[in-house]
Amino acid sequence: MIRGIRDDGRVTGIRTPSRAVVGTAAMIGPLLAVAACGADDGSAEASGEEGQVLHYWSMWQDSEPDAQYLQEAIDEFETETGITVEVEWHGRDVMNKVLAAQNTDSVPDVVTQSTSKVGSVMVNTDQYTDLSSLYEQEVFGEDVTIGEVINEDYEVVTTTESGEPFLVPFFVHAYALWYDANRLNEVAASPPETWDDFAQILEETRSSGQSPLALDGDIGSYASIWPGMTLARILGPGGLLELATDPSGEGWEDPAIRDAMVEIGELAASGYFPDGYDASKWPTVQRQWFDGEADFLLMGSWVPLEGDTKGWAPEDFELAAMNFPAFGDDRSVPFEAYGFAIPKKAKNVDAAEQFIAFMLNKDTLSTWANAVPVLPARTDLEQAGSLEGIYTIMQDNQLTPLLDGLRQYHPDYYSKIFEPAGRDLMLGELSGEEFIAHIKEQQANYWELNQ
Amino acid sequence: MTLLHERRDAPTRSVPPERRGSPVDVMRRRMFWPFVAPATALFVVFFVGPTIGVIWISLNEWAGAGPMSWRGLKNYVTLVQDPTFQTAFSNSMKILVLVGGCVFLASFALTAALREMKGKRLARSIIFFPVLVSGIVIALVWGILFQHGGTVNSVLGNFGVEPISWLNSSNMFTMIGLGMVWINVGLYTTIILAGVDRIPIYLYEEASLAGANAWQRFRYVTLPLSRDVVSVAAVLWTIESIKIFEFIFAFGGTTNDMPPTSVWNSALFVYGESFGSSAYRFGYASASALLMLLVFTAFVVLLRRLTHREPLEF
Amino acid sequence: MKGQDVATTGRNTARAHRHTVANFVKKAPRSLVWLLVAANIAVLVFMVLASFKTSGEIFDSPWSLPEEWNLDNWTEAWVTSGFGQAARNTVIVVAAASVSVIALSAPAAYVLSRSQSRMASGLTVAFVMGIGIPSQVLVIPIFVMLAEVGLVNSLPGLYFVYTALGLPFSVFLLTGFFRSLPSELEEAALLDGAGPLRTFFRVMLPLARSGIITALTLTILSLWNETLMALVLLQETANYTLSVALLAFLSTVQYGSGSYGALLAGACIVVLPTLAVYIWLGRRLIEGISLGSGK
Repeated sequence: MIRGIRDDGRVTGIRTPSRAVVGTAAMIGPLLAVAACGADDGSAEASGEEGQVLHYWSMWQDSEPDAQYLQEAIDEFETETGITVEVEWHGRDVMNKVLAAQNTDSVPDVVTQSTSKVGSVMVNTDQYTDLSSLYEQEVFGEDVTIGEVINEDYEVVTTTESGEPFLVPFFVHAYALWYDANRLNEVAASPPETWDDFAQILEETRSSGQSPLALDGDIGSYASIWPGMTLARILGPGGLLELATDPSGEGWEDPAIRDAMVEIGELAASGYFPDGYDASKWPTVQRQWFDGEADFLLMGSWVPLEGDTKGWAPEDFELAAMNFPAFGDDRSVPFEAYGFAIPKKAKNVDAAEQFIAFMLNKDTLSTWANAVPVLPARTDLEQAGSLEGIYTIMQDNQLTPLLDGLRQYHPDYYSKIFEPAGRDLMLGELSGEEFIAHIKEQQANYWELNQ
Repeated sequence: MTLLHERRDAPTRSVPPERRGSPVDVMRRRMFWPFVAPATALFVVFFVGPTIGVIWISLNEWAGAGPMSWRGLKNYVTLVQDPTFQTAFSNSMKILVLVGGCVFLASFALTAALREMKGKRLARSIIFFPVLVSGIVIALVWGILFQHGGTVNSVLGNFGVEPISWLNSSNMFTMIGLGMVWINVGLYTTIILAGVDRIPIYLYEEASLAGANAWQRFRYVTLPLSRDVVSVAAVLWTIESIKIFEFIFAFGGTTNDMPPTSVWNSALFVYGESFGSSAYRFGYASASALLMLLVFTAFVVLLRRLTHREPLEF
Repeated sequence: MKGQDVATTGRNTARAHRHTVANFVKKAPRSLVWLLVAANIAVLVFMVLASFKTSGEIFDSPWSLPEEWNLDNWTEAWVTSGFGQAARNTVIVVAAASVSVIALSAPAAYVLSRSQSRMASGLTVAFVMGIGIPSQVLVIPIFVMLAEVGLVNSLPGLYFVYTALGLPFSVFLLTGFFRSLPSELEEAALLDGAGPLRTFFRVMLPLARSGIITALTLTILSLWNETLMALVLLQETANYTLSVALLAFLSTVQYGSGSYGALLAGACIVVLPTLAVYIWLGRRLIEGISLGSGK
């Protein structure tokens, strides 16, 4: 059926089945008509005789608040430019759809997702557009270029290996320890900076019978941030990526790593997390944390959204963020960037670029970001409210991609080796020592099998 | 699977061979293709074609778009050494053998009870129902019932029982297995009961007269005489067990994450390596799907060989 | 009963022991039956009750009646979370596909059951083998194929896939069914000059009515719950089927004011139609399964 691949990467020889499909369709025509009429209303087929039409595929579902506020900005864009925007609200799996579409001629003009998802689907398959010239363009209604308002720290994850930008960041999630400043006012007054200070606070809390830490153990990615952040602290920016891609796995034998992993593993073994955190369904433990049953939550900056917009936080809950404590001198803040990218086969690149330039406008972006609330990707926007704390931390420190971009560059390694091992460590299934031995062996094996 | 079929045709041939050249037969031959072609066309497009396609993809490395690069049998060589695949493989086998064993044991127990019971029909209908319910719904309810602060623990708490960690890493797969037994037991009870119902009553009456108790009647009458239906049911279970996906996917997975690799089965491995964790390794995923299909096909053939013998007439 | 009599007449311990064993063997399965029956009913009742409750109530008093029967959860699931749209999509695709499955498989099964040619038996075997090919093997090439013709993320695309997926089992079941029908009537009709089409529609179809209803029901129920294909092939919310909508809802209870109550209301929307079909056609279904697996 699939006989070969043409130069442009498309699979050829598929026409046979399609004719058969059509043939079959003719035989059962009336039924097809029934199926078709139920399908059509949602999809955005190009009709655009009058004016340009921009096809935008979104990472949100239309029921989410993010989408509703974004729709307002899109409406504004339509009145300002006369371009019609056909939005498809795909939700988080949008890139699966883009992947499919890349085999055909009907791709969207612009998409939103994280750098890692866009990277796997568009960069790995060479289906991205180089956005260098877009970075040189001015933001809509301002005298600054897009490149000037985007934090340079994001560049690591928004460019390809050869240095071409493939994504313009729109917002970011930064990772930190979150707590209720109202209840933990001593911590709020002087947040612990080193791991030892932090460990002491945790120990005091634990002996008083309160759970110092919260974690929904059923979510592997939440659990594996713990060893991930710790390793980033010890090895500095870029160090974790190097460690993980070392084919021998010998790097794990570093005594500093060993000590830290033992320490982190102890958290699970000695009951720092609430009872049953390893046998609950998200968001049970996170809700418990909002209710004051645990003190600290290591999480991305969507916590304010959950606390405020979804109303999980009680009235007197004062959300505060604290940088993950240092094991040495590294104080960098991990982030994940989300933004706009343009597929290679996009038909309306010009409109797509206008759209991106419009969305990055100071007022547009800050209105949207404050409403959600979420951290905008522009460096020159002040933050207030529940995001103020994390914003200050970001300004005071270097920003590094979460887990050094491991999930973006090696999704398979991440999901089969790093995340499961990290989860086992944080659920007390593996001690620190066992974790090292396990991941070292698995890693060596993995790179041997996958070059 | 082919063998599933062979026995049913022989005795009930409706057209005697001597009538082959009759006008009826000519007419039948003329209507053969018009009647069979549409179904066959669709079957070729969606089963035969993709199966050939999957074989081709499995010999390449491919990210779902863009260029393919030839890997020959390398994907397969890598697979058998991949610990995640080994886990998924052994989980599939555990589901096939252990969960299957429990399903059949429970089905026999239920059959034994149902056969001589009042309210048999009603009970059977109710036990049957879960197999018709979406695996996702069952996973969802199962999760709410068994999570640490869930319904089961809160009910047990009323009796002073400490909360039990039903869903931690070490219990997770067992709970998945239990869930699958619960879902499937009704279907297999129904199938086995159907076979058992065909056993003539007089055999049981004779056994009773000879002084056999319920267990002995089951052991010496029911069991040997339902052998055929059990072997069909075993093949069905083999075919169905490799397809299990939704229940594990929804039960172990959360937000936007796959379930932990320790509970992946074959179907989850395919999904995880392709779409699930953004790895988009379509060649590798295809190879794993084919390899698993091969093993299970061998299993079906073996199963038929083992249980094959002359049909019993009674 | 007889076994029990034998045992109770004995007085020595061995016999008493055998008595308890016999008793156990007899009682254990029966209690298992009732335990399962009770559990199944309990779970269903729990689900329906919970769909009217707040999250707090679900965990604090799982078995009590809801404090007030309000429909908020149902409205949320149906409107906000798109189950209404998903239900419409599912009904249309599953109904169209199931009817097509029968429309394609009944004639095929009929001639396959009546022909003895090598081609016929080869095809029959091929269809039966199709039952054994799991979706995960087919999903990637089908995805590629549909992407090429622009049928990914489209309900018509899913309709074709579902029609194809339902075929092998339906052909298998109906071939067996047609075989069990006597051929005299049909031969008489053919010899009377009724023509193959007329014979099939006027004579054979009415005879095969119960088999066809069974095949239709089984097809509907299995497609209704299909997940893997829909998950891979559909991406846009507006195209979701109930399975995908439920998965999406499950993973996004956090959006909006989502709660376990609404989630369970969504689950009810998925399950209750199956329950209705089951109550309506269940007896035939169980007969069909017995028929398909027996012999």
